Amino acid sequence: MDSKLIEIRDLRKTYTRGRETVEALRGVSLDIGQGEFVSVMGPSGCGKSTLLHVVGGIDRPTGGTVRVNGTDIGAASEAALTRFRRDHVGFVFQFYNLLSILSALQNVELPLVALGYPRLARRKMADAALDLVGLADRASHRPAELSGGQQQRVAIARSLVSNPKVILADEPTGDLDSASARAVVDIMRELNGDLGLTFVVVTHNPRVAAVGTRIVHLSDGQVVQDESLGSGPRVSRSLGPGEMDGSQASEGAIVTALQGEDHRGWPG
Amino acid sequence: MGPFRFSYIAWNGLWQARLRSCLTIAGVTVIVAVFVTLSAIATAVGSVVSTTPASTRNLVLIDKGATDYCQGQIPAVVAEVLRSTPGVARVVPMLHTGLRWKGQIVIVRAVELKDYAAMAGMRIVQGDPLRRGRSVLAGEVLARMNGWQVGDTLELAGQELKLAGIFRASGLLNSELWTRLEDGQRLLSWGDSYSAILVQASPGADVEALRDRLAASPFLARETDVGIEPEVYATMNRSFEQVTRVMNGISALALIGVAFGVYNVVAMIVAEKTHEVAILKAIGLSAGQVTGIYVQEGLVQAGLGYGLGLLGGLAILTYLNAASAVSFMSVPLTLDLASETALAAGLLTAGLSLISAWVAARRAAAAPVAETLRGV
Repeated sequence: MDSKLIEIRDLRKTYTRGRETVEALRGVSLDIGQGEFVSVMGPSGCGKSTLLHVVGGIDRPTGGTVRVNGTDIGAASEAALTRFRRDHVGFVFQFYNLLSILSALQNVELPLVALGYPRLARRKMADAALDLVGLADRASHRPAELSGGQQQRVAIARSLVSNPKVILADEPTGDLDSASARAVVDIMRELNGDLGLTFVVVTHNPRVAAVGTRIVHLSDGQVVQDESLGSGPRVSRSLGPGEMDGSQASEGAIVTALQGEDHRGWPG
Repeated sequence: MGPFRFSYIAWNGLWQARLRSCLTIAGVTVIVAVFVTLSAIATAVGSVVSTTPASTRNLVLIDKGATDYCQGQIPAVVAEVLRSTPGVARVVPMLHTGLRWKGQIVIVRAVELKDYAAMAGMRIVQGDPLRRGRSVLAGEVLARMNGWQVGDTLELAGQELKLAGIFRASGLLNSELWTRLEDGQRLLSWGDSYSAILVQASPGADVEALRDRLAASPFLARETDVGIEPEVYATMNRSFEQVTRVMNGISALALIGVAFGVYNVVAMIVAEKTHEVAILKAIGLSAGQVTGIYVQEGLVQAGLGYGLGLLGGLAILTYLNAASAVSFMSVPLTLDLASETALAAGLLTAGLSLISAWVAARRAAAAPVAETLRGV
């Protein structure tokens, strides 16, 4: 494992929902290294998404410490957290969370605009990111003109375009059909394997979780199992036919994309 | 680049919600056009009154307690006293009152035949000067409004009067009907009293000293109030200024409507887009940058509405001028869009829109990201 990118110590998070106080995280401790692909599993309401939000700096811990690439999430100012999210984190959400008024390319460009890249540079980088997820020919399409799988791939392109330290994915396949889910998982795994990007993926799906290097099981806001599946970034390998749900699988999609070959045959 | 880095998001948002954007712009357009029109009317009212000529060498005596030329009755003996007062070059007794003619009020001014030509720099542009025997002169504007021609016979207060000529003067005078003092007194059944007396100071005489002297006279002070002509006009103008202030106030209130409109629209936009706001913040935009996007949406709508409102206001003013549709004390008003009005409307629209859009957008941008995303 590479050096620690994320250090979580005794993380506690409590929030109120109406009159109810919810103890979402109850003393989570975890280290995640650079280049890891960590899957976080557990039943609904066990604190998976909350953990991801705190690590991503869109929420703050109630107790304990979370350090991501040296940034103390609990102690950082609002401005520092904004810079942290902009510079170090890419988010992928279950419901894609693309801006409906922007094209795929404009959505991917957004983090680069925030970073202040000039127009030409960000256009090239966004094009490359879309190409990486096999959607170069959908650049001008709006989210409503794309399938769920394509939208999620756009979201992945947006999350990686600014070269973040870590990509945090919250149920990235939760709203997708199996073929699209497979394609999304392939992309994430290959980005991890080929580019060394760190992934923390929240999922209910054991097959999705299994493509990672490590599975962390949460229950009632606590880590109940931390299971290592291998050491370091794994070599790219697409899920085989039927590994998601028995339908046709796509082979070597990211590798093909990286090689600049035709990828029109991608599912999605 | 700075604050306009994310402008394309604002423009895309406006374009996506075209109907709402158009309605908002139309609302601002109407309000700015109303502001421009009311301001132009208020300015024109003030202008009519203030352009009525007044000389600092003239004193005006009006009936004790009266507020303008048209009120009260001054006995003829006052004019006799004034004529024998040192420092007085000329005494011009007059009647000045409104008469109803075919549903409108016509201001009638009656002066002695020898005096009228010396009044107020009037110039006969058609026909002849006033002459003896039931003749009248009409101001150019009044004649044009009523389609009067020289030689026409006018029936006023049950008496027939011949229009001898048409004169041009400035301000309110242009809409007056002038006649001889005797005809006026007969017309109004006023006997030999006057509604006002104009006193011209002798050359070299100290006008203020003369005024003080007249005001100190026990007889004159019992019958009249005396003032230097511009001061008397200024007193009369106060009531007109109140009208102007009310109209300006209504105009300003209309513009405050822009603020509410823009606030509501931006609040509606951001309420619909709380999720979008959360996404933008999650991917690294600051609250300020997110606020800027929606403030720009509000400002673009207000700006377009302002531009169209100015054009709309100009169109309304042009129409009203062409149709002589707005008059004040029977004077048709010439309505112009003053650069100060345009500037004031622009600054108020921009300022109020900026504040209201900022308040609405800032509130939305301050919402916690995780809670918003969790709420999906």
